[in-house]
Formats: sequence, C-alpha cells, structure tokens
Amino acid sequence: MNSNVRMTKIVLVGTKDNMKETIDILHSLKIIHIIDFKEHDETFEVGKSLGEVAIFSELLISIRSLLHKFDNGLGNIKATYTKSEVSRNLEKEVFETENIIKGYSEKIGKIDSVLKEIENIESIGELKGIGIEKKIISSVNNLISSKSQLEAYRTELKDQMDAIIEQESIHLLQYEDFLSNEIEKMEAPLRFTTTKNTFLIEGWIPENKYQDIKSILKKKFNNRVTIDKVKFSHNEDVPIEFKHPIPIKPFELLLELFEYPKTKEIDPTFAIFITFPLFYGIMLGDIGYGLTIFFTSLFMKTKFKTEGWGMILGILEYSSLYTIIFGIIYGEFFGFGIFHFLGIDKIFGLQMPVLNRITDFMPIMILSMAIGIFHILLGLSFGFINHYRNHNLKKAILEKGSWIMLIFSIIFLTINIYMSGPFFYIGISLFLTSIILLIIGEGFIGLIHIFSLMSNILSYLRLMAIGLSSVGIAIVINSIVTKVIFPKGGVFILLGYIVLIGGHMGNILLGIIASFLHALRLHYVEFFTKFYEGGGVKYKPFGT
Amino acid sequence: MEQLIIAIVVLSSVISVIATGFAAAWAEKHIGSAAVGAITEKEELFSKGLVLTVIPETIVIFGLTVSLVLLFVVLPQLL
Repeated sequence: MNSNVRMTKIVLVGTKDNMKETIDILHSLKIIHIIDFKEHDETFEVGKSLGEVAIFSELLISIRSLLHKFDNGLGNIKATYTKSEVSRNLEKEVFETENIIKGYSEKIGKIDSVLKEIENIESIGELKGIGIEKKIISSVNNLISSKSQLEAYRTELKDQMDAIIEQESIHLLQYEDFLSNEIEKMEAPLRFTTTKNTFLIEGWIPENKYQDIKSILKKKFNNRVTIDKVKFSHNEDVPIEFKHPIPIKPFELLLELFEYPKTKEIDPTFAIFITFPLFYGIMLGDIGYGLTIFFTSLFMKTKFKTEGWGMILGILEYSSLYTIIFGIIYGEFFGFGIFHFLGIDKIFGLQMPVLNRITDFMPIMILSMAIGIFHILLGLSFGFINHYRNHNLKKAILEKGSWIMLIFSIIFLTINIYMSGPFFYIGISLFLTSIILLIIGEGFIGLIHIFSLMSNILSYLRLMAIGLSSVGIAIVINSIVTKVIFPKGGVFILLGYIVLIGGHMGNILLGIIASFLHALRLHYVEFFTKFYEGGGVKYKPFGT
Repeated sequence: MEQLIIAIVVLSSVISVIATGFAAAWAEKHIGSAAVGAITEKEELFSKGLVLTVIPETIVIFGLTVSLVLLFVVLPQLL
C-alpha cells in the first residue's frame, strides 16, 4: 500500500542576479518543497530578503484589519487579477478607503447619538406641565418630528457605506492575495543558501515533474541557473503527498490531525476509510439521525467550500450512510421501533429488527469485542510489516508477532469453552510461545503490557455503550412526549412537538460529536499505538 | 438473605456507574483545563486536546458495562 507520490531531492544553483526571476518562476510552478537552510558558516549563509518587506507587511496588516471590520462573508471570493491591475498607488488607495469608511461610520454614530437623545426626551413625556418655556417646547417638538427624517438619512448613509464596502472589499481581497504572495517571494531567500555571488536551493519535487522544471529553467536561463537530482537515503524526511482515489481523500484529514506517516511506514488511510464510518454507524445507528446528518452535510457542503470543511463533511457523509445501514439493522427511526410501527415482522426471512439495542445488548457487546480484536490484530499486522521493512524479520516476530500469537491463543482458548476439539492445546502452546517471545523481545516489562492490551480490547465496548446511551436518550424523549405530554391535549400538543424536535436535535448534536470523537479515539489510541510512528512532513510546495 | 443479596447486586450496579462517572468527570476536568491552556498557547493543538480530553471516558464505559452485566446477567440467575 504505497500510495504516495514519489519524490526526488534536488539542488538548484544559480547566480544571484537571476535569483528574483527564479523565485518568480518557482512561485508560479508551485512544485518545489524547499528545505530551510539552517547551518550557516563563513562561506555559506542565509540569503537576505528582497526589497522592503516591512512596508509591504504593514500595508498587508492594515488591509487585513479593514477586511476583518467588513466581515461580510466574502472570504471565499477568489481574487482574480493581473499584476498590472494592482495599482502602484496601492498604499494611497487603501488609506483612502479606510478614511471613507471611517467618515461614514462616524456620521452614522453621530446620528445614532442624536436619535438616542430624542428618544430620551420623548420618554419624559409631556413637557408643558413642568414649567418650561413655550419657545423651547416648540423647538423640542420640531426636533422630535424630524426623527423619521433622521432615520431615513441614516439608512441612506448605511446603504451607501455597504455599497462601498462591497465594491472595495473585492479590490482589497485582491490586494491581500497579491501582497501575501509578494511577501512570500521577497522572504524566500531567507530559506536559501547563499554565497557572495550565487544562491542554492535545496528541496523536494515530485519525480515526474523533474524534466519539466529542468527544461523550463534551461529555456529561460540557459545554464546560468541549473537544477540537479541529489542522492538521498530513505531515512531522510521525504515530504509526503498522498495520491488516494477521491472517495478516500477526506480521511487524510484524520491523519493530518494526528501526524503524517513517515516515508517507509504503511499509510493507514484506506483502513481508516473502512473502519471509521463503520464504528460511527455502530455507535449512532439510527435511520432518522443518519438521514438528517446526510442531508445536513450535503447542504453544508454548498455553504462551506474550504478544503478542511469539505473533508470533515465528506467523512460525515460516509459515516451517515453507515448510520442508516445500522439503523435498519437496529430498526430505529428517531428512537421509535420502525418495524414494529410499520407492522413488518420479517424481511427475506430475517426477523426484524435484527438486533434490538436495548434488549440484545449482550450480542452487540460481544460483536464490539470481536470488532475490537479484529481491529487490534489489523494494527499489529501493520506493525509487523513496518518492523519488517524498517528493521528485520526477527525484530518483527519478537515485538509484533508475539502479540498477534497472544491474541490468537486467547481466541482459541475462548473457542475451547464452547466447542470440543484440539483448540485447548493449540491455544495453550500458542500462549506459552508468545509469552516466551515477548520476554525475549521486550523483557519482563512486556508482560505488564498484557493488561494494556486487555484494556484496549475492552475499550471497544464503547461501540455498544455510546450507542446504548444515545438510543436511551431518544427513547426517553419519545416516551415523555407520547405518554406524558400528548395525552393532555390542547396546547400541550404544540409543546410536545417542541420538546420532540428540540430533544432530538440536541441528541443528534451529541451523537455526531460523541460518535465522531470516540471513533477517532479508537483509531488514535487503540489502533495507531500498535504500529504508527508518525512524524512525517507534509509536502507543501513553495507558492501555495 | 436472598433479598439482601439481590439488593447488594442492584446497589453495586448503581455504584459502579456513579463512581466511574465521577472518576471520568474528575479526570476529564483536569485534562480539559490543561488542554484549554495548551490551545490558548498554540491553536493547532485543538484536535489533539479534544481527543486527549475524551480518553478517560473509557472508565465510565467500563462502569456501565459492569453494571449492565450485573443487572442483566448476574441478577436473573439470582431471581
């Protein structure tokens, strides 16, 4: 399962007078992952940034603060512009915009305070009675009558301001994008190695892009800037770029939240793709909840278009499909027994529902443990392969094989209770062998880990327990509404619906979070600890 | 005597949920406050903090399992 893009290490050398152009080209190509230069000495030193970064940064900050003030959900507009469009008087324009907006909001603020004063006077009520001169009273009354006029003026100003904001924010977004790119380019030399007249970039690029970049550089600079492959050992931190098929892509997020895999490690994304939604479904398992989550995440996908949201919602979509499947198995629709309600007893000769989560919790408990054992075995076999690849067969057998044998011996000993046959002897001999291997491999300390293995397997009981609590809440909501509130009739029917909708919404929210976190935890704590080292570097090309 | 044993079994199942619930909450309280402290320093730690915070929930799951076994496996044998 090596699903990573093959990387190759390169060194790019050129004369300093070509540096700026080279940076421009690399920035637009977006393929080179630069290794920051650190150890400088007398001849090699870190490059200096090009031009006045400070001015640009300051401008960028004021643009960002302006954009922040606008805060009107324009975040996703892709800034498209050509370089010439960005005017040279950028600074002036930004400050002008800032001043115009400031002027408007000051005016509006003044009107607001006047309006407030008028309201205060109004609230005093009739002025005649308290001995104020007639002249003053009439002028105050004039003031009060001009209130609607003032309000109209205020909305007019506000509309004008909003129009300017809308018009300007697109410009500002363009400038923001432009400036941050420029600053990145200007600061790029800080990551290079330089001597007096030359510069040198060390980095990684995907192997299949090497010829392209080489020919581009050759055409442009004609050997004054050259690129070459360098030998590298696989112990180096080769940046990782996955190339998973689209359905599996969202689950990369779960690796990103943890740590990226090292180069030679097994990439567990595909395993997570299978098990994560499965666990989620077993825990939540309700047709109604599944449908709700499915359509909500489909809807949210049209609203939130960033990559991170897309990944989370993608995971939720898969998980909700499994939730629906397990909802059918459990026969639950918002906590109601749907098959009982519809009067369906059997489908294809199967008693429906296949499992009832409240009464058949023992089978589900055993199923959870079985899934746990399988999952941990999978993790251990990954660990076996990792050890075999990185070290040797002996280490793999001693450190991972022994655990696998131990689990199998427990399985055989359990079968022995229910069936006759040679299972007992197989189990015992496996058990003893695994203990000996463990002691050789990890010393007597290894024996203590047997308990942690047990707690790991027992931890999978949460697949049953979380589900039980979620269905418990759903049933409580339903029975409160149908047995206590509805029979009272009248207004209580309405109240009942409010309780029903509110309660189930709360339970869905809890269910999404709890199931997600616990499925995640089962992967991070129980599964990954068996094989995963992590600490890999993500491929992050210059210019993105 | 029989009734006393049944009462003890029921009481044990209650205690196992209550005690483990408290234990999990107590542990989570400490981890949670530490996690929030870490997140204010470094925002990227949010996901790790969240996962670490739910780790002690295993305790209460064990408690729940024990109480369910007591109620639905041990108790029927006594009745």
